[in-house]
Amino acid sequence: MINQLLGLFIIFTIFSQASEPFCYFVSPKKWEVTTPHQRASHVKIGFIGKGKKGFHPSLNLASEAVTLSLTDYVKQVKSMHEADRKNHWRDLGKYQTASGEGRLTEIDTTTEWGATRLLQLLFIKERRAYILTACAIKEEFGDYYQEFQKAFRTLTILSDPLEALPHSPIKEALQKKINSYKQEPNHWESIQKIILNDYIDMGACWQIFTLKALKEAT
Amino acid sequence: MQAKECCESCDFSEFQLNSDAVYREGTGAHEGAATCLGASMFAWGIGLTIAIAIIAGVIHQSKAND
Repeated sequence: MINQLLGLFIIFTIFSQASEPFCYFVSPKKWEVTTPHQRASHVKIGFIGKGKKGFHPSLNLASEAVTLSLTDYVKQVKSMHEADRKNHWRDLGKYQTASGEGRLTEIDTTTEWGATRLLQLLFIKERRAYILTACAIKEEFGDYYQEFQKAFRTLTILSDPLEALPHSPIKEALQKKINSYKQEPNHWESIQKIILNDYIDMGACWQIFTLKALKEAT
Repeated sequence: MQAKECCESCDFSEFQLNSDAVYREGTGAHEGAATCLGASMFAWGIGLTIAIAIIAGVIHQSKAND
């Protein structure tokens, strides 16, 4: 019992060193992670699917520190998008995610590919905004709508990535490896293996962010 | 008038900092949208580059055969 509490304390200490809460979502299956140089500074991760006509659907997660309430943040974002006359912004109302209620919005714009639609979920928790954005050409948007919705609903904010995992012998093994990682850095490889092989269902976003959080904390 | 009163009673740089911060809020959403569009178009760019490379290779090959 004391050992378990000590283990939990070590894990909490490791992850609480990170400045931002742990946030993830489950991306559609078989979508690929975009390379970091393709992302702006607030964008944490991006995924790309296979398009039918060349313009590939994509999805990304951004976050930023805020002082505004969700209602005011939505107004601010609306004015930013509407500053470009090509954009047509629409509020689609409240939206339930795994971590609470956000706001779903839609932006119609035009690109070289013609009419393009973006779906944007805005969510605020503890003075931080989390933004999930998905896009596809308008003509194909209906084909991806369910996948976008499914991904948006999985938006989860936690203080520790292991909180997302159900209790299991694999989780216990992972916790033990993390606890001893500072003393035994050669455990890194087995930590990676457990996260990448045994938790595929958690999605690439959780896997990448968990490994990153662990690396940064040690 | 309100802004003037605020500037008289507080440090101007602090006022400016606060208003800048509020103005910048929303940048995350703006960048998210821009990155999303960019990624979708960049992937198209990779496809086009590969297609050009393949066509160039085929042309080169057929010229060499002639």
